Amino acid sequence: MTTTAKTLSTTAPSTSKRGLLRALLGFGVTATGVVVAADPAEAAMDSQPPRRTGTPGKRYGMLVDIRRCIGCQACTVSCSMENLPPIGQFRTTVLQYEVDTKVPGTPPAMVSLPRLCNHCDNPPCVPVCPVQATFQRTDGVVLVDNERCVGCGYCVQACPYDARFINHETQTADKCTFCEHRLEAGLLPACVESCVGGARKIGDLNDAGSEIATLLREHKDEIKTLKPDLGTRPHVFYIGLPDEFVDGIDGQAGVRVVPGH
Amino acid sequence: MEIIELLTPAYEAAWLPWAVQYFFLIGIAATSALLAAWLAFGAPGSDRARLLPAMVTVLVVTSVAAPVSLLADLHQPGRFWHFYAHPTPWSWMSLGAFLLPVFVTLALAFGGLWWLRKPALLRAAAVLLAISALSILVYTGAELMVVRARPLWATVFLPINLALTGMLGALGAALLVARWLPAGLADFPLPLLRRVAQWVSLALVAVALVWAVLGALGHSPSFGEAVQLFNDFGAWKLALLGSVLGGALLLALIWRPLPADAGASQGLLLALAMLAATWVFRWIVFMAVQAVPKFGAGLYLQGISWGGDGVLGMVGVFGLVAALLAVVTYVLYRYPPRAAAAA
Repeated sequence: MTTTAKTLSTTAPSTSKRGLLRALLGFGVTATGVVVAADPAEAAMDSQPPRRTGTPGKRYGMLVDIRRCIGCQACTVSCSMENLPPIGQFRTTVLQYEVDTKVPGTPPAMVSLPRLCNHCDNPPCVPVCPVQATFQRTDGVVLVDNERCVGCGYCVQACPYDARFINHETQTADKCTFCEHRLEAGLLPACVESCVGGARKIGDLNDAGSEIATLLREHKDEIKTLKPDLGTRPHVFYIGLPDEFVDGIDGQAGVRVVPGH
Repeated sequence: MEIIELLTPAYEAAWLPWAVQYFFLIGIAATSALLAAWLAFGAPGSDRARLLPAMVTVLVVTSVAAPVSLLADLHQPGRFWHFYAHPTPWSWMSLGAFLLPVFVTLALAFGGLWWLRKPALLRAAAVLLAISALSILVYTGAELMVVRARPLWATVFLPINLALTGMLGALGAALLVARWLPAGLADFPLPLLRRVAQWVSLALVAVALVWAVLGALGHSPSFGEAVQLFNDFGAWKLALLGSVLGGALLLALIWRPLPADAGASQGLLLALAMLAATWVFRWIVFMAVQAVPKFGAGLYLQGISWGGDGVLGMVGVFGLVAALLAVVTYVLYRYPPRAAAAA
């Protein structure tokens, strides 16, 4: 999406009042002309800036098998130890729910839902950034340049999954990075590495032979993503996710405390 | 299936109460600019001309205070120059970073031209100011409307309501500050102000009805979300009932026949009520809506700190407005606008 730079007309300046008024009017039209030419009516989703260079040829995605998650929170802890976000803020965590199907004789069950940035293919958080501090790479990983980030919080508002937060210490936007610093070194992200049940899997979706691509093919009728109707095309895929969890939770909130900092 | 959340992190509001103050001040600034531009075309001595001083005061004060509040809402305000180093035409917030200084400059130029008593230039500036004010109303509304993650924001009714409540606030602010200007309330064209306020109130009621009808027909996701929040949560029930009662009271104040001896105190009540309506609407839209989870159950519990990014910040912005008002009124007393010169 480009804007054409507009300049004031270069007719000979008039010293009369009429000339001044005409010049002022021209400036006013130019100022609004920039708005019209940019057409940001489609900004924020469906109008993505170009991706920046990532690992060539790859498209990272994560597969979370809810049936294997035991809610141990090892991923939460290891992510916190790897990335050291401030206490109380999480790049990934496992949300836990008690689910009562109301079938007589069946006790309530626990659903553990690991959640993190979905590194969407059509991320709503990227086009809203006013300084292009958050960006997506060609390998799909969405990152934040936290030296450019002004902490305006627009991307935090735009994320439909509450995956982002303003880091208390850096006062910039923060979120899961798929541990791209570990991926670059050929390691697994901290959460995948430490997952006790083997629920989290990461890999290259472009590689048909990778574990994740194979699993996605095998389970293609059971794969779900969060809020698919929004059109964000998330790349964190869930197996074993109950339908009631797909579009947001319609349920009772647990005990909450006011976050103190 | 009954779902109870057992363990969720605490999600905080990314936009602080500074944002409420910014939208409050910029809504008043942009709409007072539109009103002032219209008033500038009134004949000398007419009602429109007599309302202009108060409106110009409101315009100058709010257009200077608004950017301060906006800067404060950045978690890294010292980096605001990044907006200008990295322009991003597809982001409404980036566009706003360019539109806002243009608006503030035009607002101050308009105030200056009014003070210098240059009617022809004032009217030219009025046209530019009106265009710039519209661009501000468009950008502030669109900024919210494109956030599809929040159904309560992603509706065309939000910019419309922000503009209408903003205009109500501008009228209330003009009525409030007029008593501190040299002309005082003696010659203040209260009937004109009430008439405009009545039109705005009708527009607000009409928009609310259109929203409700569209919602009932299933064409408004924001209405659906609002109904769901009302049904599920006592806090939202209270907010809606309070808004309806407050709105009814405000309508009564705007529409009731003026007694012949309408004193300054009645104008004060009306002014404060209009300003309160403008502010409370923005508080609900920004702070209360941020407590609605994007994915989770219930509502988030988000406290307001007493300090700089909470209560003190909000009070501080009002203090800034008071200080600016003191400066402007002092200037108007000490250096009254020149007597009308030949155009």
